[in-house]
Amino acid sequence: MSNKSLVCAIETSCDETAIAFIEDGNKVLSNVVSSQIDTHRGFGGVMPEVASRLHIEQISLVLKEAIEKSGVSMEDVDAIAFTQGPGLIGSLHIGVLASKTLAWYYQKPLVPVHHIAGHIYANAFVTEIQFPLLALVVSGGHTELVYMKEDYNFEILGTTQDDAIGEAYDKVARVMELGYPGGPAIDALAKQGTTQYVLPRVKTEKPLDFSFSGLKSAVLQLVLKEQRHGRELDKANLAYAFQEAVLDEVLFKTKKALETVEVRQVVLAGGVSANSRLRDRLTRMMNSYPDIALSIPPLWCTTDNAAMIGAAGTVAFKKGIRADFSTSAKAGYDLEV
Amino acid sequence: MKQLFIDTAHRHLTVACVENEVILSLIHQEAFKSQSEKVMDAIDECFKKAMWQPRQLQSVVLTEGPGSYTGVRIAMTIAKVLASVAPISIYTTTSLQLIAGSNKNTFVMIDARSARVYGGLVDEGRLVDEASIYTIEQVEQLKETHPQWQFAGDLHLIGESDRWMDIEDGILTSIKNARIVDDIDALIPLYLKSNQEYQL
Ligand SMILES: [Zn+2]
Repeated sequence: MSNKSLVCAIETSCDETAIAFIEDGNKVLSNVVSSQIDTHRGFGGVMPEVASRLHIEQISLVLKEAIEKSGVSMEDVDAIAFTQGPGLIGSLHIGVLASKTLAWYYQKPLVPVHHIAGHIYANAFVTEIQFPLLALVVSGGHTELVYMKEDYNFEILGTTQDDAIGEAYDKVARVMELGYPGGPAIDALAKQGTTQYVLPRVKTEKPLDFSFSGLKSAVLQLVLKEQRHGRELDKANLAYAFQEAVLDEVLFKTKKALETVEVRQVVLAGGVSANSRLRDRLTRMMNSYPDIALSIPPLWCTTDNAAMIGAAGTVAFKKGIRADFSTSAKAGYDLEV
Repeated sequence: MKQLFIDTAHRHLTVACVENEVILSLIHQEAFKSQSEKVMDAIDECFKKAMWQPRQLQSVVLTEGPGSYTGVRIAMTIAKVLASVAPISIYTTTSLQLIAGSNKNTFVMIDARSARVYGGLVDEGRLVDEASIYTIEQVEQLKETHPQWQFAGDLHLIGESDRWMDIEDGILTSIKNARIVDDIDALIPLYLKSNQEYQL
């Protein structure tokens, strides 16, 4: 018997319909992502009912393409991994049902995967993951510091008390009329900005938690104040001030976390890890920790995709984690189980 | 032909294995908001009762709606996935036809919330007009102006007891009148409300 593992993975937690075939947990045979971003841009954000509709429109196309590109047959698959949550319930449903259907038809084991586990294990495609590990997960839906003592063992050290970091970018971009999604727009504009505006420091009750809603209100206040005084807003400078404030918060908490846990590796994960300034500042910060390896994933595996679910799913599969046909999507889903 | 019938559009879950117009196994149960948890086990159970292997499946007949949005997507996801991986032909019918069965002039109404229903007149298994959205008042008017019609479905909305016709007749009649899906990728549920209505 060969030791190779082949996992078919399905991810539909938000606005991407994605299916991948992954060999041995870190080789991508195919990774098909159908993004709905253009549709949701018209709405200024992700509309849950619309997202569900687009998933069902895409699922058969994405599945056929993923199988064809992988060059393997469904018969050869060892397990079907799927994102069980967290995410938009109507969207998750489509992926869960598609997975159950494949598992039933081919009589294969079903492996439930937490979306954040997927983001973290995306790093397996670019580095050998070392434990203990600290993951900084930053995306449109999540902002977490996750400690992993060993493989597939998760402890959340800090999380957001209000908005996720990507959400904060989107909301501020809306205030500044920069369009959706906000992250890339603010990141680009901030490059031309400088230190004109000062935004308040964030305060949280728990030392490793995040909070972004105060910053968002501060930006709004500032915009209104400038309007009141008839001053023209320097959008680049505001983008700069907001981005620096957000990243100050994120990096400060990461540093704090490194004081509480001893790790061999820090991994960055999630859609916001595409942010150039974050990559830059985190890399510089980690220079002062020569004993800790840093992994920054390539852009292709920062945003939601199924390859990352396949990477995490392969580990979960080997750990014996299974779901049966009665399993369901979990909009809120605890990573620490 | 080995056919799997699935309906998840309304508050019931209906799954049946049908061969040559004979129902070999049938599960028909209330499963309000739990169809997604129950549907695969129901299919598996029906296959075992019919003594079929999953790979023997040749065709799926499903209701494309109208009904709960989450509900209609359940059967459709299953059908789309099966048709993507195997030579399985897909046929669609409506939840209104399933409820009406082979009865004459039966107006079927399904709760669409906000004092509205998805409704349509079915005559001997065929939808006379397109399914559409009616207010409760419109249904009450139809009832007055068409005394020869029967009414079925969520009749509690017009102050009567809910009425379901014979499910086996509904399945067999629906299969007989089902339409083949030529392009499985283009198949979408019958929502009766457009994406644009979600803009606000
Ligand atoms: Zn994500």
